[in-house]
Amino acid sequence: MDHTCGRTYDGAMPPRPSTTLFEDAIDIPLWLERDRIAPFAARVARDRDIAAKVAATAPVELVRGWWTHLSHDSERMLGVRLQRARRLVVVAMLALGVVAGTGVAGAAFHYDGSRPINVVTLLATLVVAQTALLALSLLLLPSRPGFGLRAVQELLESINPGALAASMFRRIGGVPRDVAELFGWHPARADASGRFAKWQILAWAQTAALGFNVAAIVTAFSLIAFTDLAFGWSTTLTLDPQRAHAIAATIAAPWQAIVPSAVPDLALVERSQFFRLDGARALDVGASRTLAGWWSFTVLAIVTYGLLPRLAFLAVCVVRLRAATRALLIEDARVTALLDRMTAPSIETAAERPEDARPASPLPNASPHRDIVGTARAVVWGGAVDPANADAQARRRLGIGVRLVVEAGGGKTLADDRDAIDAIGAGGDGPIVVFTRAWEPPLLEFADFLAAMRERVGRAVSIVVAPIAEEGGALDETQRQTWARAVDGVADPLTYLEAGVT
Amino acid sequence: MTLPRFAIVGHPNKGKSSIVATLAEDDSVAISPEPGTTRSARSYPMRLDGVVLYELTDTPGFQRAREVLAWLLAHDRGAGARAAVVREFVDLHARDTRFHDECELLRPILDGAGILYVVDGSRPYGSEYEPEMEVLRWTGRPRMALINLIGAGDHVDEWRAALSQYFSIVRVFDAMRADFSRRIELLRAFGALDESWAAALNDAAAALERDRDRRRTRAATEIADLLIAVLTATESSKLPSDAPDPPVEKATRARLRRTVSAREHDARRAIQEIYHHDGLDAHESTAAYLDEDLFSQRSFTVFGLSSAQLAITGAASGAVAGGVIDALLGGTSLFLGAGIGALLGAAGTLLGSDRLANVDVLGQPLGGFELRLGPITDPNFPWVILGRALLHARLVAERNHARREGLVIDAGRGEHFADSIDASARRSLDATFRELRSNGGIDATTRAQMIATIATIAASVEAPA
Repeated sequence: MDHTCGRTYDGAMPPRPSTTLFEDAIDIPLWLERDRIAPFAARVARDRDIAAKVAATAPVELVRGWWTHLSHDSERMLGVRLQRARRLVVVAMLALGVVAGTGVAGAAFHYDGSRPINVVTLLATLVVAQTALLALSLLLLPSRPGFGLRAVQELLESINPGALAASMFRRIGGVPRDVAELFGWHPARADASGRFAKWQILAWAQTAALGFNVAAIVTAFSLIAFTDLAFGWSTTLTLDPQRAHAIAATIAAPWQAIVPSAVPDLALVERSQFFRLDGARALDVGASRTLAGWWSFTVLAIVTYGLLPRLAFLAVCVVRLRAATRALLIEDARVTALLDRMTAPSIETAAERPEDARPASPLPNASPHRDIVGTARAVVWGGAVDPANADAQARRRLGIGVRLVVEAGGGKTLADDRDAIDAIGAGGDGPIVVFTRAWEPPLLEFADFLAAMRERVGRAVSIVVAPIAEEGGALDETQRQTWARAVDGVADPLTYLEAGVT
Repeated sequence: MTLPRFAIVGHPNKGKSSIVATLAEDDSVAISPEPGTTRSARSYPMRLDGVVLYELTDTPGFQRAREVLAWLLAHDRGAGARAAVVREFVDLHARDTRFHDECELLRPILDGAGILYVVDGSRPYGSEYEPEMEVLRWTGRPRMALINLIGAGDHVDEWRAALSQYFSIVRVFDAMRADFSRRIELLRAFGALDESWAAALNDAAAALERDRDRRRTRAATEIADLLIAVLTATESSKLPSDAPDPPVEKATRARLRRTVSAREHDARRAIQEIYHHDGLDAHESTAAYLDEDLFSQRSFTVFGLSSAQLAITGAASGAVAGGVIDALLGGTSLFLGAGIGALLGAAGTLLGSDRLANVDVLGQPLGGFELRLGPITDPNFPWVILGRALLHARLVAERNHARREGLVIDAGRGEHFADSIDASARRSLDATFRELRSNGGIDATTRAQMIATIATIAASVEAPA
């Protein structure tokens, strides 16, 4: 099992039911961020292993498939919480729209019998204003605006109801700082998180607008069905009925072929013009029955210019929001790195098991050779010195001369070694100096030689091991330590190391 | 096709483990000046998606080669039976502690591994090596001698002459200093030991080369993400009023610096892991220049662009913007756009060079004020970050797994590190830095371009000097 960051991978966990794309887009990058503490090699091995079990090849599906192979406690994941909060915001925006739509439509269709409902005011409130707001929303779409448009966008962003929802969401939902930008306008407009924020906020705004229009239409229908309404038209502008009819016909053009009865004829337009100064009596007597003929026109105008554009824009927002959510997931640097780990061939070159290395032996205390007197016998091991120079070396290093020199080790045979030991043993009393090459490691066969020689010469004879550095130079610290350990390993109280003199 | 396997053998303490650590990129290989550190044979298979392409085996050194040879000679039944005699020796002495090391090193050879015999060419040749080379010859397996160079001495010719008596192929391989290309070259050369191994070894070398490119891209990705993070980093503190509050500003500034430094540290760790230098100690990994405080004057001097280059780069970016105006006007501007753009770019760069970061006091919708520090606007700052990151990445990429000491850099190469970046790459990066600062982020395409540019620069600075 790897490590605990909400999810873990134990290599055998069966795929679990999938989560939503949004939850994955939130949780996967956050999980991967915490996953960075795991060793890179371990992450590569894990992700490559999971990749082999995921059938998908498309990046988003590959990543989401990978996610399902990690066991997790879904309640602890931020994405689940934010997804719930997101749905609550949708409901809240819908409710807000419904309340506003009901209120506005109730006011716009208000009729107390004193004068008809002014179709011009009604259209201005429920159609023209909405169309203008929608047009302003479209100004938010360019992701790389010029300087002027950017200023307009900033103004619109501050008054957008979706932005208000996002602000409330950030505060109430306790959104962590690193994901807060997903729910607010911010300068990274070209970034995936910027795109997500834009479409999320626009989608929320359209949800409110949808609620507004549905509520307005339902309210209008309710008032039309359950009360008697009379419509007229009035404006300060000089507008003759023919021109007003032409405008109404233009407005009604989209449904003219489908619902011809919802297009006011010229007679209705002429008969329904009124001026407040004249009072209700200015209208033709008996016109009340015909004045209701405007209702289908007004309702279809709200449907056509309010509801349907919002529905279409909401559909666009939902599609683009999904694309932005996919981008949010797949363009995240941590997810890109995950895909790289999943798809790149894994190369391993390291050992399969830990090193069975010998721990470094402790450095023995420096034990200088005791004073050696008399003349010595010398062994040249592995051609460490020219035998002719052995006496000079011994005098320089130990202050004593050499009366016998033998060679052993190196290119000599084991029989030669035995002969050398015999010669040393037969060579009388006095200490024995063994010259070795300082840069060569003391092998076990050298220890064998010292042991055999000790046996031959007896316990009372001093043996001095004298490593000779290359070209007669001083031993470096590593060489001194190496030979000190080797001599210490012989465990013989009368075997010394001579290494300190050059 | 048989699996190419190689046993690294030789005298104790001559760099066998260093060669294995270098070729296997394994920091866990025990390397010590004390002889006999390696106690048993240890395998390092090279796996590509789980499929083994070749295998290296590190072995203990010979301790009693003359005794082994004496035994073999005593049991010699003619040239055709010599490998069998060696096997009899190993079988007979499998439980004999005196010949533990010899059995450990001979066993993989008898199981079919090729022999890579390692000597130290910085020390003189000695005849004590001949018994062990003779024992290896008895195995009848294909053999190559590698002259390693542990110290400063040069006895390569001497060694080459001696080794040629026992080995058909003799190569010099400095395990401590071998860069990636030399390692790949050696790997391919192993194919000369046995024709049937060449294809697998070539496949392995090609896979390692692709992996090298991938690592460089991964490192460039880490550097790009580091730049994106630090160029968009901000810190904020609550303020009771919109009046200046130096202590709060100082504390916020310190926090921003810590955030940026921590992010740089994270990126370094990630790059070390990419190159399998997980164990590299944080302090050990930072050579003198990299240890320098990120915000110090010296860091800016060494890693940033020089004032002239900074002005030129700023001018170039401005000129590009001006050039767009010229293009739109179809040249009717008499190319004044590029000239004016260049002047504005250079002036903006120089004027901004003594200011580290934006400081804003913002009113909050629900009351109170917020001091917001950042993003860091100093035009040289991204170049300092980039220069430090590139140098670190280069040191890590070139670092040999046989080395155990800290990273070492050539101080002379540090002067205005970023100045060595190709002019077109510098312009491209400068444009991205500006976009990051102004937009607070970049899109995936721009990020991919940034990574590609940094990878190209990393490849150029990684190239052997």
